[in-house]
Amino acid sequence: MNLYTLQSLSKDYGEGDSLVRALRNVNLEIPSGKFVVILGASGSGKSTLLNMLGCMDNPTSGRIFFEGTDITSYNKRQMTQFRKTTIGFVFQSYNLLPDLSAIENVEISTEMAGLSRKDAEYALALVGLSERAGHFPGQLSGGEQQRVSIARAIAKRPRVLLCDEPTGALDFETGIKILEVIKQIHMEQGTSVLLVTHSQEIAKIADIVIRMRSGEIISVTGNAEPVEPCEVVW
Amino acid sequence: MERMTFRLMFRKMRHHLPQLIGIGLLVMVGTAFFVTLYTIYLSYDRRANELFINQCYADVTFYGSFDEYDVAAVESSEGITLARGRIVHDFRNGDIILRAVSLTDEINIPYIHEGTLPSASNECALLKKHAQAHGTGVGDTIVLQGKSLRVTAIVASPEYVYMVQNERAMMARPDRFGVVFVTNDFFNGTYNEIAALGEITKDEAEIIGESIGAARTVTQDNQVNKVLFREDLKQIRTFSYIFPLVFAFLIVMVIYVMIKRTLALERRQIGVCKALGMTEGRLLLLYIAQTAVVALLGAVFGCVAAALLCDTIIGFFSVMFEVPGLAYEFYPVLCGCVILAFMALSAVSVLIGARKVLSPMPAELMRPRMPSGGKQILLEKAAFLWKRLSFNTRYALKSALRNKGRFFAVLLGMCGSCALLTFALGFFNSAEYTQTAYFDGFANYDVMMEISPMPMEMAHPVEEKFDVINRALMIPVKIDGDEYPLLVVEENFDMQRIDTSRIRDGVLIPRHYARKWNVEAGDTLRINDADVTVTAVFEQNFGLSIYTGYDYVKEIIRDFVPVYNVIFARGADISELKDLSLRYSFSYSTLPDDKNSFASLMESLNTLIWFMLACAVILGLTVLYAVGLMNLSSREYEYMFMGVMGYSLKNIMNAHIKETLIQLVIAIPFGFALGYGILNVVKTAFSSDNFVLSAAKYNESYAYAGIAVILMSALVAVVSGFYVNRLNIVEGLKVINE
Repeated sequence: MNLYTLQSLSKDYGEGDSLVRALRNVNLEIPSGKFVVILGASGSGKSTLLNMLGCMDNPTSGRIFFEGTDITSYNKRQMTQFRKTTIGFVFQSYNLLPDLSAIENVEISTEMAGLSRKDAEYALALVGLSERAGHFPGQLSGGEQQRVSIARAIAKRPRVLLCDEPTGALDFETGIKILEVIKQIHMEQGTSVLLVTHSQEIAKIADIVIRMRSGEIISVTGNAEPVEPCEVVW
Repeated sequence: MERMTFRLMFRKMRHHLPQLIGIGLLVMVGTAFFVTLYTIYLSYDRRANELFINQCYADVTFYGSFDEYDVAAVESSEGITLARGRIVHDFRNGDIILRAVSLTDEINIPYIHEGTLPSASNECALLKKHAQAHGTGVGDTIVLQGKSLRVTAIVASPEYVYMVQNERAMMARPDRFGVVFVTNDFFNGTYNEIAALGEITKDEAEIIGESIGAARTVTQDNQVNKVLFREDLKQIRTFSYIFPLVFAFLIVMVIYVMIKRTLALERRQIGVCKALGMTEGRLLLLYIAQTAVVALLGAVFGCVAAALLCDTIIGFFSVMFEVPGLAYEFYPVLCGCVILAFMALSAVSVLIGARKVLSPMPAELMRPRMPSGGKQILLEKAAFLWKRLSFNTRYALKSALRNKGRFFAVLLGMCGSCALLTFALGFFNSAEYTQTAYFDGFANYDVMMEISPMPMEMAHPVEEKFDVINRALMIPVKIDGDEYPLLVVEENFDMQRIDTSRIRDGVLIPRHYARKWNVEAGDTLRINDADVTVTAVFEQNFGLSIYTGYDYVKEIIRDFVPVYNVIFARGADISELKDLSLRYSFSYSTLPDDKNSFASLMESLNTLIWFMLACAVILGLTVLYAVGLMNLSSREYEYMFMGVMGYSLKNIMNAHIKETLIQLVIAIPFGFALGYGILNVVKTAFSSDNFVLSAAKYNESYAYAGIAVILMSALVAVVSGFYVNRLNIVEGLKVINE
């Protein structure tokens, strides 16, 4: 069974003269357990697509099936539950809660998912930040913040990790480290990863690359020999 | 609430600590004010009723001349369980009136503060307030009608919770009026009062009174003491509501404004929380809990403040009344309800402000908010005028209306503070005006003497002692089942300024009565069983009476015999009155005495007025500071940008001051009007059949209230100046809040 099946998915913003068609009639199947990269230029609709997949937004039309279940028919409560238990998000701008320390940022996620503090500590250890657990986001570097963000996403052991330009705000070296962490989690925990990027180079680490332009899927290609993050240069 | 959410809540509170402290302060002052007055209301009600019940306050009192048979007749009447005859007599000693009351067992029992009740004719018990005023204690001796009496007890009495001599007299100063309880053998003669216990109606009591030939029958509910008690209760309760209502309204406004701004600032964080799986309900709880915690703390501190303040305020009230055991009592239900009410109020305020903001999908919340489209203000449409304004003024005008929530919050803060200041000062003015209106305007006599009824053709011996005298007859009449005093006067009556030309054709009534009975001049009023014409309505503040002439009174009272029982007089040495009153056995009151009594009563209210003024200033400063700070922080970026563009602090502050001026110009007149409205509401609660408070405000009070609000705004502007001056242009421009 596919992880995601998208049928005629469209998303419009605004109306009248200011109507923006972010997604146009997208049909797509994403297999389970893969590292998928959604590649496209700015404004191509890749982040919008990711939001739809994570129940972060409602499509204007079309359907999304997650493992055979139509998640577009979910009500608010079901969508919240889906985000809480099934999806892990990593954002470009980290989006850590500034009032909570690194461990607390992870813990808020595990607590909501009904997991223990140990799960949060384990996740933080997995991204190599145990020693910075008590630091607040303002006291961490960009790379560290993104690692906390990844720890927060994976701590609740999601089925899918949705990463929206996770290296977008980082320097090259830190970006590579972040990609390594994500790849490691994918390999070790078997978590499906959907990563949005505009970088052709980063796409090389994926099993599947979905190319988008102007809200449409222009190609879906398999990558027979994905490279390791450390081999990527951009 | 989960642990992390709980922790997040407390950490978030740090970001708007000044506003939260402001809200807490408003809750605290509102709670303190309400709980203090309402506790006094409850305690007074409870303690006074305990006194009435435990000390067997007479249910009905008959006045006249009675013997043992009359007492027995009353006691055997249906509904009466116990009756006792007694003698009550007023003795004047210089400026002091001492009322001697013979003790009755089982009825109107004095409450003993200290000592034991007198058992011999040379002993007495003294009312505590009078004893305190003169420093008299148990074992001391007082002189009454030439007899020395040893004070054996200091007491309180259910009949004298208020130091009032009679229905028409002002509340007496405790140093000028006292009640002395003596044994029966102190007096010789017949009883002039019968006090009785029993469950009977007013009509039934009057039938019994008629059967024994009582001149007057007064049930407990109509006793001046009980009437004043009920009215004071009503007044205290009314007072307790006014300030907290204004405070509550402003608390809602400040929380609403604060939460709107907080949510705007934390929009992305809310999106993240929702993306992580936090429900809207939990998010709402996160924000509700912040204000609810502050409301809880504020209300708890308010209750503590009330506990500390209560006894002091009771101390001021005790100038008016004396009830044993009246002190602060903890009412857990009251405190609990107030705490819950303020917490609920804060929760509702957050709900109103946050409901819509929290509902969008996480993706939408995490996108930057669409900038709101600029709108033209009304003045801009008048292009010829708008173009002539400087940039600074135009900026100030547009800034003022940019965020309507904050604009109205500041307006309401100024308006509320101005209203409460106007009300408090107006209350003071009203008391002063009422005093002047009656004592310097309406009353035109030096002394009023109540004598035994005399035929008109007979002159009372006291008349020759005065230059000018007027005779009158005071009789009770019934309107709608209640008794009111009717003063029958001659056409040359000029001791009170009424239009005597109207007494020939009907009755003149005070405006308070006119409103109560819903009649105006020209209308018909049913008095006793007669329909009479109301010929005029006039203002009267004390000793309210219906007035008519000796000719017209025959329309009201059949078989009327022209007599007089009141003599008004002026133009003589009133110091002679003591001897005269003893010689001719009459009671009297002088205008200066009444004026002094009222003045001293009003002095006791000054503390309450200062308390109200302080609350109004706290309210104004808190709201202006809390909302002003939100305004400043939301414009930080703008001010810093202006700084970069070369705009000086002076220019920025010019715009800020202009904006404040616009708000002041709008808020102050509304504040005056609202304050006057509150005063009129309170005036009604403060008016009774014995006393009418005229709502009055002197121009200087408006000026003081206005100046106080302007000063508060100026103080906040100075603080704003420091705030703007401290802004770091280089660092600040990196962050855009709004």
